[in-house]
Amino acid sequence: MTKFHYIGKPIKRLDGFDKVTGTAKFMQDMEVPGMLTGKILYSPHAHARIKRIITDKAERVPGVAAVVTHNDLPPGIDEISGLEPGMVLPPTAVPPYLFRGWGLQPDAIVRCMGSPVAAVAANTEEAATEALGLIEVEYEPLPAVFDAEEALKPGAPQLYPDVPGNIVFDWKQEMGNVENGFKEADLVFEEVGETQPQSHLTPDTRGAIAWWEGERLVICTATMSAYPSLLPAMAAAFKLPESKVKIYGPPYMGGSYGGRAFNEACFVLVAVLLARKAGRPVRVKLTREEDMLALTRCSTRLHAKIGVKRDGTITAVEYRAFLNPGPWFYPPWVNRYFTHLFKVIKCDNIKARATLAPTNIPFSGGPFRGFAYMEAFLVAQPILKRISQQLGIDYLKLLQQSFWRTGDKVPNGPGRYSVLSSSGIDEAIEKGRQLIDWDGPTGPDEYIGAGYCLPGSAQFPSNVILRLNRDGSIQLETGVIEIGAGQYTTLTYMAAEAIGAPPEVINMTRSFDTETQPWDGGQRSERTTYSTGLAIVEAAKELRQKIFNVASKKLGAKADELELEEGVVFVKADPAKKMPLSAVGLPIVATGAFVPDPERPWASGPVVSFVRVTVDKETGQVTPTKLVILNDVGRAINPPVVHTQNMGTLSAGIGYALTEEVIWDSDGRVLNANPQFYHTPTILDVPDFHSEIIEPVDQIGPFGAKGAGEKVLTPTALAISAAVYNALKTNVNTPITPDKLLKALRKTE
Amino acid sequence: MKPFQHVNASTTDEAASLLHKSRGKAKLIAGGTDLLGILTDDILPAYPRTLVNLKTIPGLDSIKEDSKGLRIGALAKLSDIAGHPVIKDRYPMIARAAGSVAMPQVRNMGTIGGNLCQDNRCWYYRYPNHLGGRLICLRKGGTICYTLTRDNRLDSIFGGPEGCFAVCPSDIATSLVAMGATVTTTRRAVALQDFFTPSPGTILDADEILTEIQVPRPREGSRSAYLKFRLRKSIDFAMVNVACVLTVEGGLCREASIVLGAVAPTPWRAKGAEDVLRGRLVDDAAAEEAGQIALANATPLTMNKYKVAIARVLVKRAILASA
Amino acid sequence: MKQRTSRRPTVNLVINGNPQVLEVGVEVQPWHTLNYTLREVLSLKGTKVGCSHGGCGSCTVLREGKPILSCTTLTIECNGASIMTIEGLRDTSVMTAGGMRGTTTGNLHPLQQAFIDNYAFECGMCTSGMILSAEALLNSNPDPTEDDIKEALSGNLCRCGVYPNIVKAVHEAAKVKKND
Repeated sequence: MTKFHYIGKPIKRLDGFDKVTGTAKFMQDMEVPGMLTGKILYSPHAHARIKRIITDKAERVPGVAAVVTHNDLPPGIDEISGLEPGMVLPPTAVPPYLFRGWGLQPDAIVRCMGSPVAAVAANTEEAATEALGLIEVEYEPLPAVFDAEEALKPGAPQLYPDVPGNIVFDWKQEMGNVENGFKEADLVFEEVGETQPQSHLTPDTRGAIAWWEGERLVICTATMSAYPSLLPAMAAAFKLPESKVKIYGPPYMGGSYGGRAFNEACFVLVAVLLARKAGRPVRVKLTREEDMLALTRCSTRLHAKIGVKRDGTITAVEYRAFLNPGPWFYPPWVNRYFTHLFKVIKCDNIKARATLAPTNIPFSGGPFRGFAYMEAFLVAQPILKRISQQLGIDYLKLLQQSFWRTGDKVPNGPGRYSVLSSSGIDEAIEKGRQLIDWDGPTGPDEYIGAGYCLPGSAQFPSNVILRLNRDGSIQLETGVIEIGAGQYTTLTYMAAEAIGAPPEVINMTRSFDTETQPWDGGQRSERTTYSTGLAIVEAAKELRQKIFNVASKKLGAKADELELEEGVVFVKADPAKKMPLSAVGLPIVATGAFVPDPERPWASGPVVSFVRVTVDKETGQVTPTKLVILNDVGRAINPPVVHTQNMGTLSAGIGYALTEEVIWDSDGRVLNANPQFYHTPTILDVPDFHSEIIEPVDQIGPFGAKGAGEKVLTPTALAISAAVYNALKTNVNTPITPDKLLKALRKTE
Repeated sequence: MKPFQHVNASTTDEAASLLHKSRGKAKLIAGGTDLLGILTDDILPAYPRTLVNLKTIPGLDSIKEDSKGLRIGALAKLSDIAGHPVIKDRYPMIARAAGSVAMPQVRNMGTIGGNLCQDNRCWYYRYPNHLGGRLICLRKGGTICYTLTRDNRLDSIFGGPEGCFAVCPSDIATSLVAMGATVTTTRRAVALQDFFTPSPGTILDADEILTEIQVPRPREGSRSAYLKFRLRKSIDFAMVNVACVLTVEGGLCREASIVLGAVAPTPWRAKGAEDVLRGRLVDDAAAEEAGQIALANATPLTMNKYKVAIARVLVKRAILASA
Repeated sequence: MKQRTSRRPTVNLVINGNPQVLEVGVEVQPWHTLNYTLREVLSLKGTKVGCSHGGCGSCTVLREGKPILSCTTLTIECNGASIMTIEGLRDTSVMTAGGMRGTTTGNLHPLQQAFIDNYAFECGMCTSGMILSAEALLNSNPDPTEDDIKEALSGNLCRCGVYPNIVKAVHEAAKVKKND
């Protein structure tokens, strides 16, 4: 085994000091001299045409510098595609128009309650609020639709004239021969399930400061995809070259969980328009309630049908999925959902059809810590439970049929496969089985469940620059922002390891800056350690080579005879001949890139959760009492941080399974946009917890590392749902709240 | 928040007089944990011109016990009540109920008077003005109660006499009513259960102030239990709460007081359940029957039948816990 | 300190041990929350804004040693109060610019050190409030049980969910404080 100098052992986080002293700067702490406060006016209707909007009175409020409406939008904004490099669209899809659905709309139609209608910039919040109250809007309410399946029916309200039938895409594909597969089956099971929208509830709400310097646009915002999404969107909106748009982030992001991705452009645009009209910097900072309306996890409905032989062999799987993203239709990330349908249950014969239909529910359709896998599996799982029950097959054995192992060709997009580089699944299952005491006794009203996930991972490029300073210290320049998962620490230590220099002399740039720092695919889909890490490894090679070229003259040896360890360059054959990095004496710059390659094996780590829950069948309350997470991360660069990711994502998984749901009513009104009524787990709601890291040898990722973070939500929610199935012998849609559980009990009794 | 003026009152008379003179344009502020949320979201058609601060009135936060029982000033903080040695010892249910409110920080700010006078938590009533406009529901002088035809999962299972189906959200009210508490205002003294009205929530006139809560000494040998059902173990309001005081002698129930909270616009006394327990052996069967009777007259709405089931079980469990 | 010529009412606060006199109508308006005053007037940005409704605990500060929510507290009602924010926890008296004597960072409070040592944060937005709730606990209960810790922190949401590490950190800090 390779011996590492810096990684693979507990590393104190480099962001620790800033965070425990309150000196860490988040978006809410960012200020620009002379900035105004921007406030947004929202629609009271789920679907309506703005007939008239009068802003005169608002403009006359003392302190108001600008009022913007849809009339201030740059032309063509609704035709801007947000397609990112490497993303594949379904064949018949409408392009992913980034600015449609939420935000000011050029056709003056609001398509969900809580979509912006106008905005004000003023020198105080009080003046801005007063002005908002003076904007007169006359609406013509239009019929609204809130369900994707309903939206597809003839006569349903239409959301966009160029999206006939409300079909953004209707994607069908068959692998193998499903008809024959069902013929081979002894038994066929069906299930319909729904998954709810979850609020990211990021501790810091969305915010942006924007201003113009002539024809140069500057934006400060905490986004997880500045380069692939926000930058091209803003450049296209204002017909500027990307080089004339500077987007930078605060040093730290106050939580993301998928909620700071593609859609950022929609609300950043409001700040940019206000800044342009006011001629001053404008800060728009959403309140908690506004933020909760500005994006949620996508809600789905899935019909699943599975054929099985008496020995448990699955012969055919058929899915029919409806995705409800609200009025927004940004399908690229939904590809994942379709991809996962071919992956959650391993079978030669799979047919899937997924339809994405915009509706007038509040802005949904967002990614969220491993979206898609769980959504699909939550519906397939009860079928597996029924098979296990009816055929008397141990559930774990049945589940194992669907595990992907090292070298497997995993379906990864339509007609595409990726070879799985390594898998520690069998070790994970075996350990977990023991830790939860799978075959052991259960207490009264106690039930055990297990869940599994092989996550997707987004394949986007990353670039890094390494700069050797004359004193021997090193700058690591990336486009990465610390979202909380320890990115600054992990990448700094990986750079130290790859270069052969102590981490103490390396400084990683804090946050992204599209003007000065290299392109990065964003902090999402567990890609940073892997993709940016690989770019660091490559840059380190170049830096070492350049250092050796200089040092060879000074040490009187050939460059390839030199080694660099712990900041000292030395001759391999004669280590006494050495010099510190500071003796190189020249500033040196090296670059590295990660470019996704579909031919390259796919480094993805499976993760398993085991849970024990008690089910109070009188009140309908479910309480997790013990949780075990086993996470294959390849190589853990900083093991304690992997454990923190495990416990953190697990908490969101408990929330998803049991309590978290953005609730809207028959008018499309969100009722619980407030953490008092949006029930994310408190410290008293998280049970006894055991976290294990599984580290199979992997040759693909940097130092063998794979992603670690978001995937834990999925198996945790699945395991809880499975345990409740065991209690009720029937499926309950998440969140499994007392009302639903008691209803299900009444039905089964 | 939109602007307002702020006055520190030094006596209750002064505060009452300020309310009177303002003709409805002034509001009282105690702990502020409810009021400031209401003002931030600007949910009411009338925004106050002035806030009158009660925290500056000396002595209004005292907690005393005399021969008759406990006397709690309306400004006593929930955390002081929950941690008070006499209350913990002799009125444990009140300490538990006060300690179950929201979260530690809120209990360090919120007062008992504020908890009793807090406005309801109906999602429609509370819909923030800045998310597209507040809703003028029946309770605010409008013509409809939104919950009836929309989402009513958290609302009353015992009707809405004034047409509003929002429940009384107070945790501490349930336990105090079960203990037979009385309250004093600047104008009158009444039993706590008569202090509450379906809408607007309390009997308080616009210029009347709640000043003190009195709790009679529990009967010799009585035991009590307070159960709060909620999704999370902290922060959440009750979906249902139950307070039960039983006096059991020689195995038989002599006296019973059972009150349910968050099930009706005011704290809901389960008289039928109390009657069925009196003179009986308190066992599973009796508790079960009392639970059934307590909910027999429930009239749940379209989405809150589950609250009936939970309330029934909580009544049973509270009885068994205090037997 | 600046000369006061007007006779406007003032709000007198002691923040992290430092007296602050704020003029009503100038630095403080009646509707300003303590959270606003700390962050926007006094530039103490370590206190965070989470929900402004008393639902998350991000804005927690200590008032007379007890955790309260700065988002639902009016500054004007804090006259005479002693407030502690996260900025008041670190001992900065030992700081020297060159680091020749003392340190450049100041001495961290045992809770701050324990939060670093136990990986008791991820994004860090809840950390200020979490540490202050824990500080209030340790001052009133130097030897808390796990249940005491959880109860004391039950009004501080950590959306990143690292609760188990937070409990460990508070335990460890309690030990360190006791041995001091």
